[in-house]
Amino acid sequence: MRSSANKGQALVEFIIILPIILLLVFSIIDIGRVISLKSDLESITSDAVMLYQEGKTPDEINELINVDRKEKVKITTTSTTDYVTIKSELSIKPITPGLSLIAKKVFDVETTRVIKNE
Amino acid sequence: MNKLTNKGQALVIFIIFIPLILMIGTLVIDLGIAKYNDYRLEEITKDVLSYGLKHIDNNPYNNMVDLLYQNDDSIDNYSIEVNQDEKTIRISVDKATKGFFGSMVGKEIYKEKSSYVGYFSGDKIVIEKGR
Repeated sequence: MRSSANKGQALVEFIIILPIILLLVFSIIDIGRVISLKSDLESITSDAVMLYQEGKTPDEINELINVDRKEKVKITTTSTTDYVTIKSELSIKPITPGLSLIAKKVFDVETTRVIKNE
Repeated sequence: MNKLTNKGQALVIFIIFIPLILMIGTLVIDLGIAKYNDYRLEEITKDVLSYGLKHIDNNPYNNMVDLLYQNDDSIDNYSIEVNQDEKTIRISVDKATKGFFGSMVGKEIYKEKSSYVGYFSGDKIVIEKGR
């Protein structure tokens, strides 16, 4: 016979465990989102490289890439004598509370591609 | 006596299992990052191959190697075969990364490889996965 002291014990234990589980799950989801976004940005950077090689300016590239995009990707180009670096940047907000305080840089996602300056 | 030892048992077992859950989560993330690195290597290889084909008449080998390392300076091995007579280029790039688990054992456990072959079909550049 369960004593009155043991009633609801499982519920209390579950409530103690719940925030830890939620934190873990949301952290993994957030990191997954960052990796997925990096892959998307790689594809966007490839498109930006193609547009640059066709002679489009950075402003035109930004406009073309960001058509129909809710979150605007920022595309910048930096030229040196031999090379041009094309960088795509996008920041996302983490869903895990407090994670952006610990790892702010992780959520400013960027990819770069270097091509020959011709 | 039994009543006393069973209190909080589930909580204790959960706390014992937290490191295992964390390791599984870390493994999932590590594999995701390795997959991303693989994809990035493929994109870089295709870009370098495309450059080589556009400049195939100017012996592009050295520039292709430069471009490869400008995009990723941790590439371990590469192989570039430029055939100016047939106007084809074969490129193969290898890279190994540690990831989180690799850092723990001190070995590069994720191996990424990318091979492509490029040629002309009329005026168009064709890039295919190499063997």
